[in-house]
Amino acid sequence: MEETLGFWAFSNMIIPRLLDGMWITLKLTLISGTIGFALGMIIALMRISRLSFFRWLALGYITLFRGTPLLLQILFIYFAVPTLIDVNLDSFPAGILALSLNCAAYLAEIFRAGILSIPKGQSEAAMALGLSYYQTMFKIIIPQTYRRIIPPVVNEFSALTKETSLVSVISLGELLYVTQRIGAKYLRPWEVYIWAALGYLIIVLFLSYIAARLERSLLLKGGV
Amino acid sequence: MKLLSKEIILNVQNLEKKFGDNVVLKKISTVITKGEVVVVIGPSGSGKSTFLRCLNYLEVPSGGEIYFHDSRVGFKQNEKELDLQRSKIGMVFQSFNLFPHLSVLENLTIAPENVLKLTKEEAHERARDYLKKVGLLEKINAYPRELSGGQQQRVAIARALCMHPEVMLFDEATSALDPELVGEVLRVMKDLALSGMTMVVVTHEMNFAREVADRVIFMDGGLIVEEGIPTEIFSTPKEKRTIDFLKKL
Repeated sequence: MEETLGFWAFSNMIIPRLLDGMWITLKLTLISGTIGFALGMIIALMRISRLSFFRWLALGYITLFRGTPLLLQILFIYFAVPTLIDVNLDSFPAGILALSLNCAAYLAEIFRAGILSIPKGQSEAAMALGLSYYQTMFKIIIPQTYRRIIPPVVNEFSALTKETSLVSVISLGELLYVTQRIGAKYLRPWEVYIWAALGYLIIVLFLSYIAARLERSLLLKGGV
Repeated sequence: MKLLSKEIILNVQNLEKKFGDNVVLKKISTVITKGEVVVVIGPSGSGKSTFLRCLNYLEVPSGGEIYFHDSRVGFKQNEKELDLQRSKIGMVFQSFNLFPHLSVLENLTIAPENVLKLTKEEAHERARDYLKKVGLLEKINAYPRELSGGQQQRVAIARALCMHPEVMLFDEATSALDPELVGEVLRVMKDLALSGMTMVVVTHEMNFAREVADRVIFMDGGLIVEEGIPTEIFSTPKEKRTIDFLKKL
């Protein structure tokens, strides 16, 4: 019967299921983005640490996660890790873990570039006042990087939004996985893929909108 | 001339600094006593800024020792102690280095609140006092980019004073300013000197050196070539290099 449905009637039928997938995609993006953000900051600080042990550890991490395919990292965490250690992750936590670890590597380099772009006089002035290294970092240097790292961070987050589709390989019901299933079931691929594309676009536009507002509010406060 | 105390604030012994093979400071020794205003002059590249930056360990010396009162600055000490020493040594930079993301008030309170652990009210009161002293109380809520160079430098001086430092270091504090803005900063520095603050001032302003200094140090080629009271250095210099330098002005 489905073949006889028109475009809008068919769309009406499948959109609720696509929205379920989109919700999972959004959750994957926001959760992995948040964890990746925190982890990326730690790795960036390690990367510029005065202790060479931390520097090498961070460099090794970044090299590993930037140098291998994300798809391989997802498959490794889901299929290979349980055979090595006795941890069996469901597809959702496994997806979150892989995406977080991966985007942390990219964000770390963005944060590092931001920190290094602040003139040396700023940290000298802070240290001359007696502020400690960490106070200097967190109260003086890092706040000045916010506005300049927003564009590359948004870049990374929109890449992350789209990379969540790779998690479909471990049968996680995110947007692309749902799309493929529906497309195959009803043999009407073009409608479902168009709606899915729109779904990703909406998420990315939503993130860009939040970033633009954030940028504007920072501009009003000191202009840095 | 005012009576100088014998209490030594900074004691510099055989201070040496190399950048690679380039020796910038060649075993310099001097002492700064309480209440003294020392002005360091010399041609560019003479090592005077490096000398000043070694005093609070922004530049790590290659050799020799610096003592702040009785404790050695920086060398092999834990970082907390260095931070504590730095909190008592105020510094004013050529390029102001105000924190652009903070308002004038926040620039003045961030270190008193976080280092001296003053309460917000105490820090605010202190900030207001010193802003009044440098004549910028009406700019308390402005951001640095809204101020002229001279105003920024006066705020930077107030920021350093809010820590109640025992000595103030000025690293060519007026060199980045437009000529018409130099006067307002020098006036603040002069007032500070008259109030009894211990100061080490690296500058090209010879009139300031002549009028305000208790002692003038002439540096060239990484050495203290000559030092003495201003009238000695400016009227009857003994060393040939000093004579040549002063002639070129």
